[in-house]
Amino acid sequence: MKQRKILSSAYLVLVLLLMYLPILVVAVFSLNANTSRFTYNFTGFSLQYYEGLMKDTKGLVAALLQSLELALYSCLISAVVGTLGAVGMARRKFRFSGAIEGISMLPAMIPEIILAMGFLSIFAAVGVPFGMLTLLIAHVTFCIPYIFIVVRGRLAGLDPELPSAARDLGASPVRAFFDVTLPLILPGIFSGTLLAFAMSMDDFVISFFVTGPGTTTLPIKIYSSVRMGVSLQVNALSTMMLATVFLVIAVFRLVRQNKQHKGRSQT
Amino acid sequence: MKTLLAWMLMLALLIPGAALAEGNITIFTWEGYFSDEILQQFTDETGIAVNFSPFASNDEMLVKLRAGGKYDIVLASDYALSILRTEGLLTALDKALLPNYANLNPAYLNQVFDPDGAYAIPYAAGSPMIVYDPSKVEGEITGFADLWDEQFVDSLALINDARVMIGATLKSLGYSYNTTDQAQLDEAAEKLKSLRPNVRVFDYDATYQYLLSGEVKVAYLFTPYAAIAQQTNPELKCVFPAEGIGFGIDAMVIPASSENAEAAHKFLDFMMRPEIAAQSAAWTLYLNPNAAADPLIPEELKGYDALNIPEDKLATKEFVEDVGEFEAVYQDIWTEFQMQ
Repeated sequence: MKQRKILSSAYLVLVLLLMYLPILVVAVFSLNANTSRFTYNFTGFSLQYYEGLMKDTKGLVAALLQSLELALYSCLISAVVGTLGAVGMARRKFRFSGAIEGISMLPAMIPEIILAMGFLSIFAAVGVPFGMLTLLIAHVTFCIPYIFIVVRGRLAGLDPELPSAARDLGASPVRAFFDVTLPLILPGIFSGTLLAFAMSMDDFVISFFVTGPGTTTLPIKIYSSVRMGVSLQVNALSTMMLATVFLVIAVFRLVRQNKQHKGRSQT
Repeated sequence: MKTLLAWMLMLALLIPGAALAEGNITIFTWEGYFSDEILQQFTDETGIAVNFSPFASNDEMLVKLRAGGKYDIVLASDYALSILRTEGLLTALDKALLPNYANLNPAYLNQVFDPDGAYAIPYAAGSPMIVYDPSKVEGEITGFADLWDEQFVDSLALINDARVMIGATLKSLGYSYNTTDQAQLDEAAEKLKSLRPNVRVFDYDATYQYLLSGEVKVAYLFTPYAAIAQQTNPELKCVFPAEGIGFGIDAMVIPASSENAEAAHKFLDFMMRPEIAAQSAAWTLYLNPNAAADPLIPEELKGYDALNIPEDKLATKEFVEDVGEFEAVYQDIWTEFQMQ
């Protein structure tokens, strides 16, 4: 029994180590005092890369802002489209609904590079200028399936009679949707949107092919600087992004725990 | 519902348009290939803002330009520029707008990728070379053929590039980097096979790290990486292969899609100023193609073997050229070699 315990905790430690060691290395090297562009040996502690980041000497923050802007808009649009699609498909079955459902998952299934080349040729043929607009269209396309899947799952576990009950009580279809269906599927919309947000933030392949002069997202910026040496400012930026995410999650959990406590003490 | 629509409209308005002012140029190249200080100085002097678009490889650049991407300056490698030239995607240079063109070193002009010197301004040049740690190697390495020696089992780092490595192998057999003779290619593939036990690492940009960490005894490195390796560890030795050297030039061109060719010419002329070219060479750690800038190159750089190609070696230089359908043959040989 005891041996088993040791084995399972060793396993746990190993997995955690594998998951977090690379992140730890990133964070430690962001404090490197080495100023060379090409060698990264750790020579001592310094905040120089954070200072550089504050002044945005490498344009990384500007690229991050463009990435955030793109991810935000594409998530908002695909949240609306994906949710409407999922609700509509769940409401009634028609002749090709199965086929349409399958097709709507395609952008998430086919290899990115193929989607990217498709977008490139369509935009070039139609003559849309490459830039934020083309990026947005492409990102919305591959974000929709993620939201669609999650919301569909949420809807499947929902009693289909609930909106009908609201209608029976005199609510208009719109009112029934906003007052009954939407609040119930909201957690699904949220988690789908978060997933889509992550997808949009770290997409390189599609973004590269549909972006144009003047629009550079963070992944494009980092990937194209490999040849001339990736600045450790990238590490500094990643560390700060990680810290922010950890903080947000921690606060979120605390608030939720508090709520649960209050809920319990009241009953 | 109406409020939702209003929100969407507002958001749509917030998305910045791609419209660019007239005084802008857009540069398309690897991130960081131009020093930020130089770009800033150009903007300060001329009032022309520089818009930067990065790519990660020549092939990506080709795809974007063929799809009608609009850029004013492209800085890429010789063979890729040659493809752009033959496909009619470049604007011919107006030499009347480029008084500093006379500063360029004629040895780097009118090369195979731009035979009439009508399109390209050389920016950086280089040649892959053998770099090794003499304390770990018995005897001296003089050429590519030495790498087959038994003392190097599992201790070589090679550049992960089919054309560069097969080219070097072909050269060691006395053939051209760009042969399209199937028999010669078969022979090179066979020769490469026997090198496989000696290879420990394939990498493209970080190959020198393995040499510096001592994981490999010998590495085949591009010019700037060889210079960095020697800068970090002065004991290392750089050797231009006795069989002849491969050579590459990264050059600036104005694509046919440029909407501000006048400003683009101003930029090119600015880059060919001796002091700016010297600053660029110190930034990129490649060979400087600007003769007028030679006296201004920092002393420190002149000490690196990688940046001092002997004249007799330079005479043997050979570019990687577009070999058309044979490109696939090269790639197949390389893939097979790596998987072996």
